Amino acid sequence: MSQDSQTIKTAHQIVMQKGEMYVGWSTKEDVRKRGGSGGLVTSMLAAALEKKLVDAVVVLKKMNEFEAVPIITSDVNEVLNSAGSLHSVPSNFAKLIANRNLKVALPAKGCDVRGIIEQGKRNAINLDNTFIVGLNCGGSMHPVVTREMLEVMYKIKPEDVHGEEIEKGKLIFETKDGKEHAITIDELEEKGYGRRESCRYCTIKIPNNADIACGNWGVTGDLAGKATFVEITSEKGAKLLQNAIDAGYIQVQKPDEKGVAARSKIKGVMEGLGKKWKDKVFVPMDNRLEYFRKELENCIDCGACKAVCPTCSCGDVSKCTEFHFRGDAYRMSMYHLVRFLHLADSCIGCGQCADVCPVDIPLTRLYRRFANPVQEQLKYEPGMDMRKPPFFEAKLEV
Amino acid sequence: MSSEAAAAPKTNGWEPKIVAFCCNWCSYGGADSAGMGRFQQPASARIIRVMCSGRIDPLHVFNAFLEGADAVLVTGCHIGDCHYVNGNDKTKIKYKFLENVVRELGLEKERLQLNWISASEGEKFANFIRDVTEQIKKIGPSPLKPEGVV
Amino acid sequence: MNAYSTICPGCNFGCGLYIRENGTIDLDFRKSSPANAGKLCRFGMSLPRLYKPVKSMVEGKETTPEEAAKEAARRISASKGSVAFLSLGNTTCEEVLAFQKLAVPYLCTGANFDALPKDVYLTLSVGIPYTEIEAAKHIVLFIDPYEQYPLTVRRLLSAKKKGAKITSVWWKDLPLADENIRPADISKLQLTKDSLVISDFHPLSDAEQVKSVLSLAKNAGAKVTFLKPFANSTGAYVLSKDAKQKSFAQLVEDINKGTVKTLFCLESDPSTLIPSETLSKLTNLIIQTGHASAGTAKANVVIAHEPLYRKKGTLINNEGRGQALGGAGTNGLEALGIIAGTKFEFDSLHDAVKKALGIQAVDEFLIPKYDRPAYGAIQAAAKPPEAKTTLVSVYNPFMWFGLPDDNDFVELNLNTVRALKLLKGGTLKIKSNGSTIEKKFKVAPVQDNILLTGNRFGIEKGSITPVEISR
Ligand SMILES: Cc1cc2nc3c(=O)[nH]c(=O)nc-3n(C[C@H](O)[C@H](O)[C@H](O)COP(=O)(O)OP(=O)(O)OC[C@H]3O[C@@H](n4cnc5c(N)ncnc54)[C@H](O)[C@@H]3O)c2cc1C
Ligand code: SF4
Ligand code: SF4
Ligand code: SF4
Ligand code: SF4
Ligand code: FES
Repeated sequence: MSQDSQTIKTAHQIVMQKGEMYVGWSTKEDVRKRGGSGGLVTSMLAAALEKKLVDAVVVLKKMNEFEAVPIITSDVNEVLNSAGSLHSVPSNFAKLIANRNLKVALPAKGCDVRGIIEQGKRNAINLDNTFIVGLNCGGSMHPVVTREMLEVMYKIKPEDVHGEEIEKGKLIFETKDGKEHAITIDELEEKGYGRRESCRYCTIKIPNNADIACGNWGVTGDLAGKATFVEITSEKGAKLLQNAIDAGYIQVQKPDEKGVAARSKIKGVMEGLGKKWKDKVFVPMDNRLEYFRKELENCIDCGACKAVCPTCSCGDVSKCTEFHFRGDAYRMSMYHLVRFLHLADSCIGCGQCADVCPVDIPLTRLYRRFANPVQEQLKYEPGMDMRKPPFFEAKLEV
Repeated sequence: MSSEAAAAPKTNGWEPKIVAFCCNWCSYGGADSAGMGRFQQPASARIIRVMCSGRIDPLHVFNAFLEGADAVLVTGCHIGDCHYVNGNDKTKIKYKFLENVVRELGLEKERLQLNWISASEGEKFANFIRDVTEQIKKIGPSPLKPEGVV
Repeated sequence: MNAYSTICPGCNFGCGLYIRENGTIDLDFRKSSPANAGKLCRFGMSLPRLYKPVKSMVEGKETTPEEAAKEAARRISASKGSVAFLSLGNTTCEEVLAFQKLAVPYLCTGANFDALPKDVYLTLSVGIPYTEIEAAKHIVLFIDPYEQYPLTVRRLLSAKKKGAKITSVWWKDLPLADENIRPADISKLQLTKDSLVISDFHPLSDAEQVKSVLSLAKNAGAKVTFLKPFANSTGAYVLSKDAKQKSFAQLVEDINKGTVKTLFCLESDPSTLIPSETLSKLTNLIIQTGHASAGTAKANVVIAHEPLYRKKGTLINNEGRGQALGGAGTNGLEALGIIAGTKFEFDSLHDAVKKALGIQAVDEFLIPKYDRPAYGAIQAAAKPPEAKTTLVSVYNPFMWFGLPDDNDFVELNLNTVRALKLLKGGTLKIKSNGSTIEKKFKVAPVQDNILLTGNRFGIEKGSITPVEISR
């Protein structure tokens, strides 16, 4: 793009490159204020739209602290209004932009990035036209669980919550009266609250699979909480960031070494914690057939788990549904057997299926039972790069 | 009437049902020559001929189990001998997935087996079926067998 | 891109979801919805299929909603004295109030309150909060929650996790039940004051069955709650409490007798409830609705307004929870105004709704207090034993909306399969009143001589049909 090479040479000396790290913030006062940590992400998305790097942006339209609906918009103001990170909104963006042939930029938690990449492999998303702004993710919470947690554990009314943050292993809610209420995440999760189960064992804490990875980890000193730490992970990412600087939407500076070290340390700690959770959830088990049958006996064949799965890209006609008839009196449904197999290499453990199952089957746990050994044996991590799903290979590589 | 009945191994007079998927060019030939060569062969096998082991979809295997098979055998040409160049390489991939799913599901490993058998290996085929039949007789009917199916 | 926060119309459970319009209709999960945590049943997942666009029509000719409403007004006034108004509770409380004004001569909410004691009206109309289901110690089900009201299943499982015992009184063993009692063995049922009885109440409910459930609960001092099939059943019933209503059975009889010649239906498809022989006796079938259905294909006049999700207004779910629809549309009220010869203002109707509920604002996180006064002793007639072989229709959202589902089979048990020597993968012949159908079958833990179906085959006589079966 000639326009880019021109703008890169403008007054702003920095020429962005893959691999570089920065700390930055929005130049727009209100966006900076409302932003999760400086509003850089929002401003970068808005700049991409404004300068026609993309035709549309996905943002969360916020209803309240616990609810937001993802929309695709071409309205810069709507993008700017979306600043802020909502930890009780386990969003799912991959399917939203699939099969729409968009030139789009969007924020994405680790699991969203992985979903988008898997849709890319299945030709449902053109990754060349998709600018993925990765968000570091320590985990998200289910809104209904969060509300109950606020009432039961924090003894505060959900309506009184004004903001929320995670610091030093504690989940802190700020109420409208300015007070802070803190409880350790460990204690919350022990009682069944806190992050969704899949997030506890998710190990994609810094999404280096996106075009650019943004978060608050690594922002130190006076800037802490007021700036966003970014790592450029692709050419597209470099373009995004440079574009936002050139458009005057953001300012950046080099991070200090302490910050870089802190960021990588937290990442390590979080990943370790994730692995521990994984061992805790996936204990070896006898009588597995009985276990799976028992868990699945309440299934009402709603199809939500398929519809929501960000790595599936079959439409209405798919193997799992076409060979499944509700009149079959099998001991296990063909639908689930096919899905267990198809997701063995592709499940990214995003937890969406468990979130939407109307009869509360812990589906992600079931799918991971099959996916964990297969992905380990095949050394395949779906959604992390463009490697072809092993099931479609011509020859077994491992 | 859950799986209790199925869980208790029945050996007396019970003939397991074994579904063997055989590739037209090799293992089906093996099965054929096993018959022609009059090798002693149990009546347990139900042979399903496919043009290449690569055609065997995991769905077929699941279907066999759900319909009441006590064991399912995937067989094809020796690696390198596939009549469609690399069909059995693909079989290996699918089998890898199938094996993991079936094991993780909690089915005994005897219930799903892979074997490469050429057209001339009639005896190998017969022995294979006989061995599997013996193994299955020991562990009893499949817990996935539907109610009312023997 | 338009995204509407809305409520599933499939039943009175009150499941929240988003509908996105973008050339097509897509749904998205509204995880913060208090009734369902964003989860949807099979029907909820099928909503894009339900919302088929509908066009205003007069005798098959396309027209504008205004013209259609004017034509409806003309036909209604021409047919004075023989007009009935039916709304099952598929629309907003605000429209219900407007509808009542119009329907004074003959209001039907599709329920048979007539056949029941007056003092049970509110008990039938408003259920209990789902959290009370989760907190119950003993739950007795007179429904198949999986098939009929699927989002109850997770509440029941949650109760069970906390130690509740679940007894099912049904023709089939239910996976979540600790105890399965067949309806004919009802005498084996043991209720205490710790029991919670869950049944349902709908246009085709058998009054004797409803009375028997009420009386069982009454005698044991147990709690009782009735689930209902339409998005705003609760709102429609509560708001119509003091209105003069005709029962649904009466409506069918009056059409058959010819005393009702014109039927006006608001967001209700009469073809799923009223036999077509009866419907064909009408001179005028007028349907005002937001989506196409089998009924709109038959109607003389169709007044098309916005689909439910684009409307503005309040729904009340089975718990009594007020839920605001996320749309802005009020053209349903406009059409009703044309017919009534007046103008309905949304705001004043909305205020009236709040007043009736005794609330300041509609807040989905607060359940208003409802009077559910104790009712007197009820004499319930003993149910006649089922005929030798019986086809039981298990009413579910797909049936109420006439939406096809993947369930073209009957459930029966292994004894029946063996007795009739049915072939695996084959079919079964079912004969009733001279017509015979052939259906696939599914082996399930069903009572002997019972066939269950969640489908309508066209040979049914009510919910329990004596049949003859053969290979
Ligand atoms: C669930 C969640 C957990 C996080 N955990 C960590 C963490 O542990 N460590 C860390 O360093 N950073 C974490 N972040 C990232 C951090 O909160 C900021 O989003 C990030 O630093 C960017 O800040 P910003 O001010 O530039 O973003 P903003 O300008 O505020 O932009 C945020 C963008 O993210 C979108 N968004 C908000 N909520 C969500 C959501 N739930 N899902 C998807 N998109 C959303 C908004 O629509 C907006 O476009 C998390 C973010 C989320 C959403
Ligand atoms: S699964 Fe991982 S990336 Fe996704 S929300 Fe949870 S912690 Fe974040
Ligand atoms: S199976 Fe579930 S956890 Fe795995 S990718 Fe699909 S929705 Fe996510
Ligand atoms: S979401 Fe749950 S109920 Fe629905 S099909 Fe999947 S497992 Fe079954
Ligand atoms: S039909 Fe009822 S239970 Fe199903 S999604 Fe709709 S409201 Fe919920
Ligand atoms: S032809 Fe025998 S395995 Fe391919």
